[in-house]
Amino acid sequence: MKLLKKLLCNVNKVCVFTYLAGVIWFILLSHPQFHARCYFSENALSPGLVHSQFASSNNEIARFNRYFTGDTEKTQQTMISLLQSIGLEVHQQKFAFREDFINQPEEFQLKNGTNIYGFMRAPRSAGTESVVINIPLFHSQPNYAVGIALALAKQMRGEMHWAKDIVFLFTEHGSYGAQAWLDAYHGTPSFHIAADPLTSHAGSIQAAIVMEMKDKSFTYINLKLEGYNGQLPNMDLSNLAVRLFKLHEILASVNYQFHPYDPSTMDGFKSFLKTTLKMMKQLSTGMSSGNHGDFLRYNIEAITLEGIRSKQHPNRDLLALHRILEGICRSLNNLLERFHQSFFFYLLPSTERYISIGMYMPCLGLVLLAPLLKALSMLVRSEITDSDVTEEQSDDQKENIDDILQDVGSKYFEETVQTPTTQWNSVVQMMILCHVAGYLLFRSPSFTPVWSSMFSLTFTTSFIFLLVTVHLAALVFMELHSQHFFSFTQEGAKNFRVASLLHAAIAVGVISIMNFSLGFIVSLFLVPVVTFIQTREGWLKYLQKLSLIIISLPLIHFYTHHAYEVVQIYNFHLTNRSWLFPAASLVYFPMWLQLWGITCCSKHVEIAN
Amino acid sequence: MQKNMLGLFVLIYFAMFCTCNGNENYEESLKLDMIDPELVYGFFNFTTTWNYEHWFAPRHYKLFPRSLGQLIQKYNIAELHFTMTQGLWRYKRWGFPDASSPTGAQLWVWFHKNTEDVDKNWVGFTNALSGLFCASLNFINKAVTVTPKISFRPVGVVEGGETDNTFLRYGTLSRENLCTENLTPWMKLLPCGSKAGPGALLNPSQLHHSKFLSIGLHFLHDCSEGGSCERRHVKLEQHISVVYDLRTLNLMPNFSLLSLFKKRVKPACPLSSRSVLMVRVIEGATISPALTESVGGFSVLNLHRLKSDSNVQVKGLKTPGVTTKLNHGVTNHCYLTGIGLEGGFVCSIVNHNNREIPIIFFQVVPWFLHTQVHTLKVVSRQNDIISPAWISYTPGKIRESPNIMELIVRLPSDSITELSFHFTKGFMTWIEHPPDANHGFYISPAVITTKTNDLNISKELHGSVQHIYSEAILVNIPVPDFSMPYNVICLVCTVLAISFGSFHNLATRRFHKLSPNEVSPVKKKFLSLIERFKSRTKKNEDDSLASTAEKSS
Repeated sequence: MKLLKKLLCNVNKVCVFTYLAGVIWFILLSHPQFHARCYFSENALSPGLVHSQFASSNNEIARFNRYFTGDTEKTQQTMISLLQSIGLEVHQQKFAFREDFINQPEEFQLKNGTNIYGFMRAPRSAGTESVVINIPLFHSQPNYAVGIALALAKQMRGEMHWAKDIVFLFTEHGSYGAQAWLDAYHGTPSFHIAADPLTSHAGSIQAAIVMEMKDKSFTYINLKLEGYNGQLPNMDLSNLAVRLFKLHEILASVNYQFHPYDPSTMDGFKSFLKTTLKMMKQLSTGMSSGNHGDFLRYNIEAITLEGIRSKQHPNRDLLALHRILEGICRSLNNLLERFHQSFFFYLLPSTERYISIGMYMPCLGLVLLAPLLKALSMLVRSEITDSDVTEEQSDDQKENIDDILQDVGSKYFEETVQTPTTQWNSVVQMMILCHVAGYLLFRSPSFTPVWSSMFSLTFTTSFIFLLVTVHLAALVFMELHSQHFFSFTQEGAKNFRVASLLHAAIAVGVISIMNFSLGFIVSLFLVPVVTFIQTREGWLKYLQKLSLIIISLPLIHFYTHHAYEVVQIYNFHLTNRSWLFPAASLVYFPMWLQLWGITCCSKHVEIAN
Repeated sequence: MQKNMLGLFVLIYFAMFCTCNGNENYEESLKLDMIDPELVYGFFNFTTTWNYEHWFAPRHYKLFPRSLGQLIQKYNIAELHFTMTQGLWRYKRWGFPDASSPTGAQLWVWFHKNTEDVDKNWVGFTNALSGLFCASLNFINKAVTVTPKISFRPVGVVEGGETDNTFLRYGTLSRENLCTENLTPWMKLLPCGSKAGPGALLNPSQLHHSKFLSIGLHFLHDCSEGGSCERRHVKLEQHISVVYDLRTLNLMPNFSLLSLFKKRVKPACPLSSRSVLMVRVIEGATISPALTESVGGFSVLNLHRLKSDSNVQVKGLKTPGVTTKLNHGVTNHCYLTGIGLEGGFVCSIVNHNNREIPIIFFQVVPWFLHTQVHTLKVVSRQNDIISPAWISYTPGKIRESPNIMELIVRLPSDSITELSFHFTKGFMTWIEHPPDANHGFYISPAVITTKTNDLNISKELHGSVQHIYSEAILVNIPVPDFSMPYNVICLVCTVLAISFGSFHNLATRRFHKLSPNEVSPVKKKFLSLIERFKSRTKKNEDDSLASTAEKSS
């Protein structure tokens, strides 16, 4: 009780402390003392244990690549005949898709694409398991990984030791092609893609490697791990790639950041922090950084290897990457079970080190402790003040204990059952109103065609216009509602605040369980505002409103404008890939609107008093 | 001394040969067939037949392997079919094999009609056979064993002419690999082992360098020559099917027996009545030395006439075109759909013939996949719903028996028919998981049974029925995390639950200060009860006191 009292007296200080502790903890995680070296959990992988066969040469890769410089239709035919001559079982799949739901009305013609896939049937197995090597074909430029894949296919076809079918998958139109193929493979059609069924399968896919190579040579390889909605591949897979790169003396990076030269220095710490933050930034958008994201959605562990060329540094030829790819496939071939051992939730401060979920989750817990404690203190304090009042009364009338007991009992009864002052009903009503506004924001894009014809705007402009309008309308409504139609009593306003605090803590907590990076970043700027917003008067009130405007959705989008267009976010939501749009409109916006409501009702509290 | 001993052995040997020749017969053959310029299919066949008077109950064994004969006698077996296979026979490109077999181990047995307890005999036999072949056939337990209704009929002759499928047991183990340790006991059953004839080519390390390898053992009762079937004999067929990929072996385009098997073919087993090597090559390829005899497209080499170890070479085409051999029959490709707990099973069955073909579709689904029969759909690619002519479905019992599905479907001419159903993945208790549970669990291959007449293929072996096996399917069911993170999750959840409890208490309780004199209502009630009790006893005491006082007074 004493501890509780102390806590209640200093709750604001404690809140500031936990918030800062959470943030500092998070920053410290990037210090080498606080994160660990990557290690293999799955011993079956044993990377680099086998010697690469050196069956191909640079010339061969270049020769294969020479075929794929012309137009698409012709190259696809060449591809099929090449794969067949290598001895693969080749199939193709046609698909049509819709990518833009704002600028393309229903009757808009779908875009067409073709996937080509060849099975290297493993001599050692019966087609029950497979590994996919995905080469996305770009329309604007060649993907030189094609040559590597074909050379590898040719080499593998002549080898005896393969125990998993290797699927060489050449997809078109970025992730749409991969999704079309995966949808058809698993028989789970998406509404925006019409894909032909596949004519052959290769059992359960254990892992996938995506290769992007925009130049004929490369300086270093960038590993892309981030999938949709914070999904990450098993750490053993990325670790496997990194180990092999190290073995073959190839520079590897995560988010274009290298392992620092000296990790113990300040520069090393900065580099770790920067890499972690870059990774979190990508994860928080809920978008995938490559085709591997589509595989991850089907519970297939996948990474993208992207070759980067820089003019200042010496370059490696494609044969080096060929060896890496062969090594990865050999290791995956050894795999007896699905990836299940290592981490699925982690952050990478560099290619060689990791922060596990057990380390980063507590800092979010500390940050979210602030609103929880605040809410708790407000609840408990009200109780204690109540009892204080009764105590005073009882002091006055000490004579008759029975009388006092009766008196307290009736008071208690009045307060709990009738309680006209707590206004819980109105609090719930208010919260429902906020969520209705959120739902309206969520549904508003479907009125885009109507708006564009009404105001003769382009679809994109009217879409953004619509979102902003709903935003402003909800704001104005909240303002008017609290000024003219409804007012909270002091008790009611307090309860509303408690409810908002709890709501914010729970909502952010739930988001962070699905996507830690998004949850943590939201909590970073939401928690200070949500904890210290009160029903205030004077300049403080306007300061509060200003802080709320700073963290409003349009402005957040403005800060991160270069990341993704709002239209793109909406499209990705419709294709069921990213939950960012629903999270923003259905969770964040109502939360924000409640806070706005708290700042609004201050004036009337005075009147009520 | 040694010479004398050797002479004695030779004498005994020939004596045996002469006595057994009367009612036992042994034939051996190897068929080499080029499926296309890249693939060579080898089929070894070793057949022992034994005429017997009434009942197969021999006391003395000559050519027939004793170890197997004793098992057959003990467990009262009428017919036995056992195959172990590595790899998948790809019907679409390779055509039909001489003996079909599914991936992994397959065993089906017809017991004699006088068998008292079929299940007991079955369990005993699977265990004995697993000992004989060093295979895990003892894992064919009751959760795997089924009794198909119409798919697996006896191949040979049945006593009484009628068949009652209660005497049939069928089991498959798709995870079972074929290893050298299975191959060695299998070869020991041959009269000449791997010492002579085609058997000399059986080199385990080279056999495993193939795309497909299958060993088979079939025991059945058959009619001797003459239509009336008055005299019967037992027949033991042992075969090995092997498919070599010349590209993988780096043998394109020329190959020989030596390069494929790393052994030369030896003269025939002296115990055999027929011992031949048959070779068929694709157009343009040549065999050397040239084989003059030819039977049904195959060039034949009689191994009885062979004097010494020899090699047969085939010179292929230097620049083979891409040829895809199209199967003019029925092919089946099965795969899994769905993600998460819901799953689907789809088989696309292709009929390449230009006429309707009736087939029997047979599928066993393990008990931990709960099939939903109402989702069973048979649709041709033209989206015409085909209603099966006959359906038999036996729902599985958890931990006891699998789901069994058997249907007769008429495949339209030149059609692709999709047969599909859904299932939900069930859970296993934690001790039921096999080692490497994250590897997944196998659904045994779907079996399609057709008449060979319908497929236009001629078969020497196993009569008029062709089984077509699809691929075994690996399915991942939810597996508990047996590792450290699982403990961490448990621990964290416990801590959360405890902290939640105290926070909940704090948040929902009302605190109000009690005056020091005030007692809690419960305590008050309790106290008042004690008070009342006390007062009553006091009263009683007073009364008794009063009464005693009265008495005394």
